[in-house]
Amino acid sequence: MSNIQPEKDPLLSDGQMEDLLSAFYAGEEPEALKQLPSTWSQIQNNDVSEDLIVAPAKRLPDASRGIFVAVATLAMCVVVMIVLSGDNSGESTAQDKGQQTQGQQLNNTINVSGDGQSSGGGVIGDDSTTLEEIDNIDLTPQDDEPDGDVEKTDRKPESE
Amino acid sequence: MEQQQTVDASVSAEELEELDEVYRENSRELWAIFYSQCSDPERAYDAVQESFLRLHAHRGEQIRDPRAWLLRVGQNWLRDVARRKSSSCKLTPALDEIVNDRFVPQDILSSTENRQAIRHALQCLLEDDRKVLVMKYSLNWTSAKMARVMDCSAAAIDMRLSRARRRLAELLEEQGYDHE
Repeated sequence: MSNIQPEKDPLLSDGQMEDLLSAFYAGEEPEALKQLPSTWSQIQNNDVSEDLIVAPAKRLPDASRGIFVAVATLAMCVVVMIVLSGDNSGESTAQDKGQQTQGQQLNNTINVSGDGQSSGGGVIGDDSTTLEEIDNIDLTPQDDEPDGDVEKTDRKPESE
Repeated sequence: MEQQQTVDASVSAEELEELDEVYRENSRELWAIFYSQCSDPERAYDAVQESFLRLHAHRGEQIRDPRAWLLRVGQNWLRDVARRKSSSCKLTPALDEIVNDRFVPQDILSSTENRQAIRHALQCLLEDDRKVLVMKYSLNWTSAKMARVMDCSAAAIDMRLSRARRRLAELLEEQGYDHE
């Protein structure tokens, strides 16, 4: 003999759901649904027409308004053209100025040679340094070395 | 002048009679469809009323299919209300039932809670499932009639109904619905 009872299905059965839904929907339908529109206060008092008044049609533009619009548009176009032409001349002036400045900068540049001489031959430093423009730099060793700049080397002279 | 007023009154009476006739034919079905959309009986009724008021006020091109016209107007109105609802406060439907003296407060509370639970569970179902439930249990339509409206077979309707009932039972169980 066992005391274990079969577990009750927690879900509502199909029959229970049928009854439940029938009762539920019967109670949901409002009583007012049975009243015909002719008995509604909104229709008897003609409130509907007031609620649904159509917005008045827009006023068509008359002749004077049209002329005013045309003149205003024309004036606007003239102003825009003036502004645009002014902008263009301004741009060209700025461009010219830019080119001039660039040219001046090019003229002022000084080409410097490896020997420290400039094309102008002018003195540019306190120690009489000059600059001279040359096409290339000669890297071959020279026979006559400056007196003051004798380098010390470990090589022995070839004559010995 | 007096004759003109008499003519207006007779036209109006005729119009009202026609309106009543259209209402008799369609109001319950429209309410059920609107209800399946919003799961709120009062709002569904408001949608029915709004659509008929607009039909009454309609002037201009003749409406060929009043049922379809009313359905479209009501559904659009419901959508507009749903949009506005998010920014407005919620009314408590229980207040309407408290004034009813047929039940003791305990019963009212229990009944209201259960109804709310079922409405909430219904909202979790698919709209088509809600439609078949309301057609079956509110309008008492047969599966064949529902099949014509839903454009599918009667067997498919029965299957959908069965699934909807089961799903609803599960949802109610999850919510701790008291069915004892």
